[in-house]
Amino acid sequence: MKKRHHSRRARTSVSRRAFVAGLSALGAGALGCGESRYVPTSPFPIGLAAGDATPDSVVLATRYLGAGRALRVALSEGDYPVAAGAPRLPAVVGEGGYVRVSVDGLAPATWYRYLFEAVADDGAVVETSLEGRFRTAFAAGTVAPLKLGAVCCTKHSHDFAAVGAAGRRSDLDAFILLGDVCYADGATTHEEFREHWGLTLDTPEYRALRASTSVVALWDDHEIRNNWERATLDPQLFAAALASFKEHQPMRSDAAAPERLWRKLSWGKTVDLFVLDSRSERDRAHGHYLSPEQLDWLIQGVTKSEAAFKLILNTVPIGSFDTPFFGPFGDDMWLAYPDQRRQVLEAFDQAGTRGLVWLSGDFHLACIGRVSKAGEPGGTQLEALVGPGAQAPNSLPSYPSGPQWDWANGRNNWTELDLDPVKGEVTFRYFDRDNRAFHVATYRP
Amino acid sequence: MYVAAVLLLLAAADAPVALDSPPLPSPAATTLQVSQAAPVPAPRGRLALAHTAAIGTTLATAVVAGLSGWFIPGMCFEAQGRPDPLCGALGLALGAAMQVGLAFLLVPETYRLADDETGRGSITTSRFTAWRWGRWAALAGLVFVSTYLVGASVEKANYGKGQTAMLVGAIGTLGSWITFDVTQLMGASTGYKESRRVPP
Repeated sequence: MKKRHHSRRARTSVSRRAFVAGLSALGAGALGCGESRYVPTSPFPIGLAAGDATPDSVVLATRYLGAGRALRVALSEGDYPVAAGAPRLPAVVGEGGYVRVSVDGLAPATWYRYLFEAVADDGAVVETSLEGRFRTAFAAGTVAPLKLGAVCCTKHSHDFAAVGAAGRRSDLDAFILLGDVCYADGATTHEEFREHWGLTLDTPEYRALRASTSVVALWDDHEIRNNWERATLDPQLFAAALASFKEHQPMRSDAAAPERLWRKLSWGKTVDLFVLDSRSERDRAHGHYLSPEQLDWLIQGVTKSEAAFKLILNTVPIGSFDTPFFGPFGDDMWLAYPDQRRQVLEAFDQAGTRGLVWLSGDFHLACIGRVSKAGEPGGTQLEALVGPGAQAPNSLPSYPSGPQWDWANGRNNWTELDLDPVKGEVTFRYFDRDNRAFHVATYRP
Repeated sequence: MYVAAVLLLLAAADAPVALDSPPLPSPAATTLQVSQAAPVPAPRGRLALAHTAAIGTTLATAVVAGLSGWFIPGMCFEAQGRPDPLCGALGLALGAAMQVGLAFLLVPETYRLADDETGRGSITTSRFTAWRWGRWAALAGLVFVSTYLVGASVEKANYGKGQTAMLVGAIGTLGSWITFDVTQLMGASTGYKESRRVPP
């Protein structure tokens, strides 16, 4: 694995918003007040989003709380404002105002723009959402450069500037929301989960980001509870959290396995995205970090993939963060499931898998390095941690560094992955709140 | 710990001072200020006020010292976007030193609040006794800060190798810090009460 990296310092500061939010929280705590309840700010409070783009289809989603009698989506090909004569597709508004539209028959590797319109009984348009855009995935066999964005850990009481910065970009082919997007800790009912999602997504930053390109959404622990495990979670709580997650993030749902969140998305022969669900299928009693079915799917999928890059969207890192400082967190990581960890790392090592990247989050620090120490299983596999997007930095007094880790940083950020399948190189760019790249590194995994 | 300190101090305030209390041992400066007469107990209300002020001052100095100690690693983080173990060590040393110094200077002064026309105590004796009680904790703190520093130096050069020493140093420093705060509070109180005499 070759690497080039260039760092430069960038300004960081506590934003006024974070400062005021902190003071408010302090004041609310002092007064014994609870968290302010969510009040939707517009008929389309969470904007709109496209997700899980394939070469010919995409899932569009929004939430509509206006007075219109029906909703429809206007879609036009090309990266131009939606044409007046663009085709309109009906959209069904479900309970709570949630809307999901699966659009098929699209052209591959093509930019589209779309918007939602609410119409009155007489057919007149009464409300219109902002305009969103997405690019369909490459056709099978296509080898072409690709730019992905990624972020995780965005708590609604923190400064979303880095999220907003990502939303100002118009050249990202898709954006990965790598879990802990919504901190719903404490929610107990479906309505409370919705409120937490509203507090997170009903923000200018997330509206801009989700409108700017399609997303690939994962969940991690804070979408329900810190370090939750399915076995110890109230089934009703899980059901409410899952339903709310699916209401707010555009993704495909398998009718035969409605709780299954792991899936594969392919962009031609450029990259295969393996979207893991490393939360809801854990079974500590049997040492399962992933269900055997998901683990087998991952190993088979990665080792047989013909794409130049195999990007594993992993939420909690698989790296050997086993130093004393990380000890208290070890129980939640792949490391606590050593048999499966070794199995998956050895499988990729033995297959000689090229172009493999583990993309992880959760730790409130950005980091790039090898999954394991040299000579151990995974010792040549690349892992990059993204985020935090809007959270306090990891507070440990020492961050990972060489020889296993090349770089680490705790600033709020979002990450760009610039994939060059011809050279086999991936360039990571970590951007701050002002869209300044404060770390750039190129690897050939 | 602080609640325990309060309870201990109040319990000590209730304890009768022996009329035939012997003169305080060493040093000369202390015995010079304390007459051979028996100590005069302070009114409970005034003593409670002084205890409260002493505890409040200790808490305040702990906050100031903690913030001072936080400042250095915070600056390093702002500059680099990541923590520097040596900056952390420097911050820990500064914070601990600040706390020892501030508490040594300020806490005994709060016992002036217990002075009245029935009796006055010696702040110098209070300070000396506070130091006598708290010095071992301060020394332990020095050892643990040094342990942290050694760990941080190793960690800086070789990631992961100094973390055990840093953890031991940090936990030990915190424990020493709390112990120092509690013992010097008790020492300051004891010193004051033992030196309280009828004003000339």
